[in-house]
This record gives sequence, structure tokens and C-alpha cells, in this order.
Amino acid sequence: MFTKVGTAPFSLAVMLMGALTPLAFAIAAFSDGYWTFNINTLSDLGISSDDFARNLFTATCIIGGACTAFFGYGKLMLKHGLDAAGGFILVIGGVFLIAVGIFDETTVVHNYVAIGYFIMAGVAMFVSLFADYQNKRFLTLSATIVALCMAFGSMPGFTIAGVEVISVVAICMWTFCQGLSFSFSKDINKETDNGTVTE
Amino acid sequence: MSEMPNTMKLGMAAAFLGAICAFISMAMAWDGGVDSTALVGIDMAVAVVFFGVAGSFTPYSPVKGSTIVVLSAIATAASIIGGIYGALPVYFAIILTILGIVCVVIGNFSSTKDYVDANRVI
Repeated sequence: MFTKVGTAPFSLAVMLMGALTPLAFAIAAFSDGYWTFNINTLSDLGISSDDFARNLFTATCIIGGACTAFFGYGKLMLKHGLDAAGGFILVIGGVFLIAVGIFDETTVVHNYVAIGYFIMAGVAMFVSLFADYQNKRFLTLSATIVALCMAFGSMPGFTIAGVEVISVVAICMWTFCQGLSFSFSKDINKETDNGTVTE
Repeated sequence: MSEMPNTMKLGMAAAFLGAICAFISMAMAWDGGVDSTALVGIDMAVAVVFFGVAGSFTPYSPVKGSTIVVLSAIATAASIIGGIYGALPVYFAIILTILGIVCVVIGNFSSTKDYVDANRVI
């Protein structure tokens, strides 16, 4: 039994994250001046000599991770089956993204949490793929296919640094579409008259 | 056989336009050298996928109605990948991505799905 909540706050959080994260990373890269696509990883912005770029990258990772985890929590609470499983994975992914912001490249933990984030995002995408197919949400399904094709299609021609950037853009696009789909979803748990939600 | 809905015709037109754009960019990518074959190949793949989507928007569609959406999504992804690799000029990549999204939306219409599922040959 949960308190009555709508999908709006969760959707809004993740849509803001999906739309603003690539923009924030782009501003940080321009501010750094030396950051080069396909040579530098995004995490290099976390140890940038430019204070603004470094702080922007760190803040974006922490806020973006919090938004992702918040959305995952919403999905876990309001959905069931594969959708809820995808929400749980997103919560873990969001925590990993927060950790990417907290632990910069100079720490040992950084690589582990960064890899953890990408693995969790990938698994969440595949879970979402099956959940969308099961529930016949073909528009969201197509967004997931596009994001996965972007991430895997970039692997043969780019270095790991380039693939990371393209994957982050794909993940942000995918989370935006997930938020949009979640805001219009109708199959949330039944609401009772006294303001509580039951399975 | 019921009359073909306008959404089918619109989807076919969008997909053919995308395939023609990809063909033009394929011709533009070829510079006579062996090095350009990779870019020509990517453009050719985009053109082939768009032709496949166009073929799905016909009464003789070989796929289910919902599969058209998936095929259109793959065409959109191919356009974006072509743009990322530089095989497609930026303006063609944007046009093809928009056309791919149009195909995804049209493929998701119930009129399109119902018609394809009722009339497809396989």
C-alpha cells in the first residue's frame, strides 16, 4: 500500500535530466577548451583545470543521477512486472551516476562506478525493450531500439572515449522518451477513494 | 481487399523520399578511391533499410504491422549512425532522421497496423 502519487514529478525529473545533461556536458566541454571528442572521456571534465567545467560536470552527474534514481523509484512504486524491474535497475544506475560525480578520475573507485552505470543503463534498456514489447508500447520501443543501435553502432568506428559520449547522448535521449511515456501511461495501480494505492 | 488508408501512402512516400536522399548521399560520398567505400556502404545500408520500410507500407507487406515500427526505428538509427560517422552530410542526416521518425509515427497508427495485418501476404 502506497501513498497516492501521480507520474508527473518522476517524469518531469527524468525528462529534465534527459534534456539538460547533454547540454551541460557540451557547455562544460566548451568551457574546458582542451576537451576533444573521441580522445578525451567525459570523466576528464571532472578533473579539468577549468573550475566551471569541473563543477558543472560534477553537479550534472550528481543531479542527473538523483533524477534517474528518483524516476526509477517512481517506476518501481507505480508499475509492476518488467517495468518495475527496469525501475529498480534505474535506481541502482542513478546511484552509480551520483558516485561518478562524487569520485573523480583520480580515485580508484571511479572506473568501477562508471562501468557500473553503463552496465545498469544497458540492462535497464534491454528490460525496457521487453517490457514495452509486452505492453505493446511501440513508440517507446522504437526509441529504445534507436538508442541501442546508436550505442552499439558507434563501437566499430570510435575509441572508447567516443563511444562513451555517444552512449551518454543515447541514454539521455532514451530516458527522456521513457519519462514522456511514463507521464502518459495509464496502467498504474488502481487508486482507491481514500487516497491510497493498492496492488 | 479493403481500400488502402492514406497513412499507408504517406508512410510509403516518406520512406521512398528517405531512400532517395540516402542514394543521393551515397553518390556524393563516392570519390573514386577505395577509402570512400566504407562511407558508401553505410549510405547504401541506410538506403536499403528505407526501401525496406517503403516496401512494408504496401498491401504486399511481408511483415506484421508492429514490425513496421521496429523497421522504421532501425532506419532512424541507421540515419543517426550515418550522420555520426560522417557518411551522410549533416543536413541529409537530419532530414533522414525526421523521415524515419515520421515512418515510426505512421507505422504506429492503428489504421496502418490493421490494414497491414489484414492484407499482408505472409
